[in-house]
Amino acid sequence: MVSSPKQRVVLTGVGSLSALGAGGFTALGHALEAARPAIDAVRAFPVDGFGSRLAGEVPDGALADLVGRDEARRLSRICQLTVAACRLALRDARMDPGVDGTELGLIVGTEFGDLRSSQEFADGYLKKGPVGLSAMIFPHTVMNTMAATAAIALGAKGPSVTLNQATVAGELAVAHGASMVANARMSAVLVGGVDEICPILYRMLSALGGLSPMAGGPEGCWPFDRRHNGPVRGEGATFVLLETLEGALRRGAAIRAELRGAAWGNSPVGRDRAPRSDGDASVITRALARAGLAPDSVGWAYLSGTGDPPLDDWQLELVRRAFGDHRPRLTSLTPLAGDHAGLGALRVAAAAWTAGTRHLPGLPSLSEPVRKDCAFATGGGTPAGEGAGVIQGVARGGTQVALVVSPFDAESQ
Amino acid sequence: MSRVVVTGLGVVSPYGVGVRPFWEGLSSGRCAIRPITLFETGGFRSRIAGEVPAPALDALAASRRRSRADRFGLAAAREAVVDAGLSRAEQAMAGVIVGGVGGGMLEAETWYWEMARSGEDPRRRPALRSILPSSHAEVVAHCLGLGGPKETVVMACSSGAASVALAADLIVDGIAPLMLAGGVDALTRICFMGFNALKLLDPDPCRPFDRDRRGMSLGEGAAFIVLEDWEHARGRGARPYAELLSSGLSTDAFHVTSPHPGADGVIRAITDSLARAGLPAGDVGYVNAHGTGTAQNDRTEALALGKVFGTAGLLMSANKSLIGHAMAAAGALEAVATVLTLRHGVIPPTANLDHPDPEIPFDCVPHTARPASVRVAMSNSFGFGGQNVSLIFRRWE
Repeated sequence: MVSSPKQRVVLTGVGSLSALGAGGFTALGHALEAARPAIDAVRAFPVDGFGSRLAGEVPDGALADLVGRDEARRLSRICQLTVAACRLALRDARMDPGVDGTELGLIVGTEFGDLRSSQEFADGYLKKGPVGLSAMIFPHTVMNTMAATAAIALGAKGPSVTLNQATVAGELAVAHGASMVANARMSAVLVGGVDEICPILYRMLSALGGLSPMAGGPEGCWPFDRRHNGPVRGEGATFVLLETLEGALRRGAAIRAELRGAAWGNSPVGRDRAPRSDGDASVITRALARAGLAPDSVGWAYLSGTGDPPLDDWQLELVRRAFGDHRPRLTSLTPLAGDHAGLGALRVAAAAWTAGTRHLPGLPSLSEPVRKDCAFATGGGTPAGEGAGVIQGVARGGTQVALVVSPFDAESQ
Repeated sequence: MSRVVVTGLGVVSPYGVGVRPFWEGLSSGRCAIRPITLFETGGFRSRIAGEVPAPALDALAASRRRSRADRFGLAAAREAVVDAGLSRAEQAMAGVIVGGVGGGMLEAETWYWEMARSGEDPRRRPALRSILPSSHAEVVAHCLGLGGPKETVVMACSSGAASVALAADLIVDGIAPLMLAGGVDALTRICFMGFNALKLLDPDPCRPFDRDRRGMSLGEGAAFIVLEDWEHARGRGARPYAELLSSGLSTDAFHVTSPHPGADGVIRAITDSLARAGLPAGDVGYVNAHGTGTAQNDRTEALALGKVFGTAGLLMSANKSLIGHAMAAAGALEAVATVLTLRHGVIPPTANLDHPDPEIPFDCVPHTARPASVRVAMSNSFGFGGQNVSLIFRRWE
């Protein structure tokens, strides 16, 4: 009764704005090659009195050439980030949704949505009463505003879905979009994620112990290192275009990589907790099974690796259980760009780049790994070796997602 | 291809806790829209909503430390799981998709209002993740031990219906044999003020499809349905309520708050769902309408239905006239109502419909429920951003 996937899914475009900069597949490749951490002291607002002061912010002016003046006036910043990243991805893929647009879907992952607009809307009332309320701002208080404005800007008329999820919203969007394409519901889907840093969010995360340094000590992003003491927040939007192999070949698109398999599941624990070793270890295995690959054919993996100690520990345990004695080279992009919902699709785009270049960016400041039985990519990066790659994301609350990416093999059509 | 069946239902609504009071309320045509008691409403054009009654909330087993919305969600999800007769082992393989919008914003507003007015950070700060819509899925999955895919979909007013559509897709695609799908929302100040600011709320209980309609009424609640691969359901001896034949999702890509004037996106959602079900339009006997009571929405929906179905013979009604518009929960509540309509052979009425709009030439079942042996029914939901969902259910025979 299980229907087999009907279509092969390929990645043909990337659009990204993050602390690493703005651009498509090539620009992202340059940033990954440089592997220069872009985390620094928060510039956008004062953080005096907060427990944290670091973030990975989108560079000033990155949006300037990517959204029109009218959009810059009408749209909130997070919507502008979304529209810009989606446009970059379509441009990178050389795709024009055209006048029809009904075959282009959009899936947006986000952790916090447009919190800035919610605060602005509430402040209008608190300052002036009912006359202070803005009918223009209100729609942005709903989390689907990024998908709605992007669909309008692009003319995307297929399903536009917003997924709200901590840490792995981007991976979840990619997994769901891949399933949509693989099962012939859509021929092309833009999938990715977006979040922004705003004062109220940063203040709450810091006050509630959601950021480094969670338990004191120096502040920093050190996934899988003994110094890890919480995530450093990032921001931005990254989207990738997934389409059927058939469609991509028909329009002569440059195929960056093939998305071979996806699986996602849950290990039920409390909303703010990470499962221990008893969490479901089968998600990576199921993704590999869908891809038709054995664990030892995986050469490398991009992990969500936020630097949140219980999550890091759970993630490495899952990886070890899925791969046994085989040790794929592990890395994380959070030390480069900070944790945000755009990072899920950024990891997928980076995996496509690694599949093509065989280069894996390293963990720049890993000095004392929390586990000796895992192989990490360190420093500026390492050769990735042959084989497919895995993207795995885990979140407090027990959600996990695994995706399998490999170079596109034209011979196997 | 898998057949997806409905094997469990759960509801928290302005009629109280449970599927039974929900159906009794709907089928009696008793309007549950009343003055809001949850927060101050002075100075606003509309001051009413379909609120879940306080005694019903007090009776919920869910912890009082959880947000109002999480308590709704957990109660409705529990009822659905019990109704479906799922064992703990079956729950462990089930996934969950929840449509959410407001999350725990009501409690966050209380904190923020107090902080803004006093200038000090109140000691009772809500947990950050309880504010987010994803909180509902986290709480439901944790408390019920659900180990399958867990997702939160935000598609404004079509979130609840979208959760049903996406969950069914996961079953058909073989990703999970069993899914809990639903929608959850509690009234919030931001939502109430926002729709007031847009001048989309009627000061009186809403009147969908009425010539004199002046907007919508807000509501709140939660609803869940257990969706299951038919082979899986048969294997464990479950008796389905109905079959979910198909869904259609589309986007207007036109305007953030206004529907496409030619109903382009709505028509695509409806026709896609019909195509996926392999049904001619004439097979649909009843439409549980989105029916908000705003001038534009009702006109657009009627335009779409007229183009797809014609106007003769189609029965249609709007649950929102009875319980208000429960935002993210609306599509799930209406999916449950549609399933119960098929099950009981009774169409719940459209309340407050005194002067049918001549531009909406359908039989909208005014005031009083009507017995009707409907075999196939559609439930429509449309959200901000032109995000449209149509679901088609068939009576289980």
